[in-house]
Amino acid sequence: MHLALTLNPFEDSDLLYAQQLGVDWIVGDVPAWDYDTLAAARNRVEKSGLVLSALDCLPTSFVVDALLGRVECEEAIDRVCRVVTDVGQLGIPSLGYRWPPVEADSVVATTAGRGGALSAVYRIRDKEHTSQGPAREELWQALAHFLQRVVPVAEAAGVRLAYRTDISLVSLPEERRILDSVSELDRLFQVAGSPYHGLDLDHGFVTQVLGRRTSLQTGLKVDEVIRHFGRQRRIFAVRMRNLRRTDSGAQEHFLDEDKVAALRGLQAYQETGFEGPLCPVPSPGMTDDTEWRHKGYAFGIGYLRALLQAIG
Amino acid sequence: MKIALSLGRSPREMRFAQQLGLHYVVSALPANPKGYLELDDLRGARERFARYGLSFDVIENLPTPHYNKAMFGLPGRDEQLDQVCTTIRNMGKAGISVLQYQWMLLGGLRTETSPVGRGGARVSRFDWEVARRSPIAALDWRPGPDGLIHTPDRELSAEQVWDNLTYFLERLVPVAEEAGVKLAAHPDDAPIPSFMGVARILTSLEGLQRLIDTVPSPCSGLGFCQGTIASMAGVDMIDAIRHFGRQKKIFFAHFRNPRGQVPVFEEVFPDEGDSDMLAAIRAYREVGFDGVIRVDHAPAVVGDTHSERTFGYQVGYFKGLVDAVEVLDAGGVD
Repeated sequence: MHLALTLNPFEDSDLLYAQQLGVDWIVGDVPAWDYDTLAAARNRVEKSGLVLSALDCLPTSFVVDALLGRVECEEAIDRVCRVVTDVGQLGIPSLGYRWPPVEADSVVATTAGRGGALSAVYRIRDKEHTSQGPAREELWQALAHFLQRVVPVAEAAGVRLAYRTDISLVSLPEERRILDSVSELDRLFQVAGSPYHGLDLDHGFVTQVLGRRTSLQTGLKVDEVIRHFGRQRRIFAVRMRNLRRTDSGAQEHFLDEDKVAALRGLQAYQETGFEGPLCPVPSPGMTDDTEWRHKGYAFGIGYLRALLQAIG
Repeated sequence: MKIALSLGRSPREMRFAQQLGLHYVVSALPANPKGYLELDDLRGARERFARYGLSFDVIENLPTPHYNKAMFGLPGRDEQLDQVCTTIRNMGKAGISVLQYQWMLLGGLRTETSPVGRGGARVSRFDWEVARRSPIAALDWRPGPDGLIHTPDRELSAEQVWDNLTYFLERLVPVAEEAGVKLAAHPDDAPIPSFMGVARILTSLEGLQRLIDTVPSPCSGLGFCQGTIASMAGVDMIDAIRHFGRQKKIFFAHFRNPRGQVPVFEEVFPDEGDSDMLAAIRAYREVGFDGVIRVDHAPAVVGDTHSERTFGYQVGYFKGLVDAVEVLDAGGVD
């Protein structure tokens, strides 16, 4: 399994940082999405001796119109298709997208984690869906339309399109909440089942949303969730972080605060044949860290590298 | 395993250690003009760390000016050793259980720091040939209150240096036993047998064993610096953990993994050195090592104004190895 860092390829010192810490796969967090910028990003990464293994999430603004079903919808989708084609032409193997592009009030508090580190608490609504509801169906129809247009373009371009799971969705009211369970994600692949369509998994989402929720529904545990999607070759990327339940939600902790869970999680990914990118998430936030969290990343890279070495 | 960082006094450092989930710390105390470490200072340091949840159990190192005459066998050494006895007794009273010392008359040796590491990281290197050509440049020039630039006035043979060390141990070990303090000898880094005509005696496994056997005591043993031991010519560091660990002679250890051995070695990141650090963790567990082990120096990382990136990385890596071994060896692989 290959370690990777999500960074802006236009920050020379961050490329160097990755290299010094022995991380040679980069997930590009690019500042713009025109062909020239993407080409420059790839060139900078590759001339540095690193690999641009994926591009981080498409901006939410690119898909917001598609979601809302406005008249500009088709133009918005055209723009995404153009980016996908560009990404393929540049030989970048993978691209993330988020859906729906909500800015939900998901972080309900920041609290003191270990040693006073800044730890986010997410609101999690556990209630199961009682009905599909018209609003949810509209969202699904818009999503289906988006995917039916974009995924074939991705396939033709040789770009793996990764849906990025999003814990903020779980804070939404039931009638607007989609993509928040294993069966909801299964539906994603019923809509667009191409091998070029998969998941960019937040491991905290896996443990606190998919694992928990499905354990009520179908009895799946975390490692079974991983196997479920892994066997279908749907796991394109993993962001490793540790969330733990509180009364009303889930709180960020350092990976080593649940060492058994971290190791078992990685073993499960590995057993499915997942090869990476495996990205550390630098949370909770350490005191006196930079905005990008160089300190937190350093700890996460070291920890994950050791676990990977140990599981062989 | 009791993973530690070596820390100074600033709240920033202590908070950093705390956020990394550490519970142990090692620290130096500045040389005291009185020639010994005072009880109040020792207690104060322990309390200061305790406020951040950090247990301060290891002094690293005994300040050189407190025993430099003893190392060289010079007049005045008896008075110095009396003062060191006071330090040891005070440590016992303060509850600090390990005193690391070193027996490098000329100090540590390195020849360069070069941007030849991974990603151009600056690595500290030793090349014996370069050191022979420019010996003064290879000496440890860190400023110290001792005013000693270690350029030697005389030659000392290995047996002379052994005599001095034996004299030191015979005087201190009974006091250490009484005070419940363990004396931990750090090997000579770089581990070459002699430099500028002055012998370096703790530079081989035989030398370390001889130290242990010179004044046998549960209070006389090693500060097991993995890096120094791994850079001894022909030595397998992991075998050495087993060898000394079985004798319960590892009182304290340093987590470091260099590349190369005498005559040329360099300090790379711990995941890219010559030794298998996972096997090292397993060896410590196998011999029941229960002392403090601290993260050692590694190359600097770009933009790292407080060395927190390099130490954060190393603590993450070290913790990950320890955690993985605990989980895998306790429960087996699924």
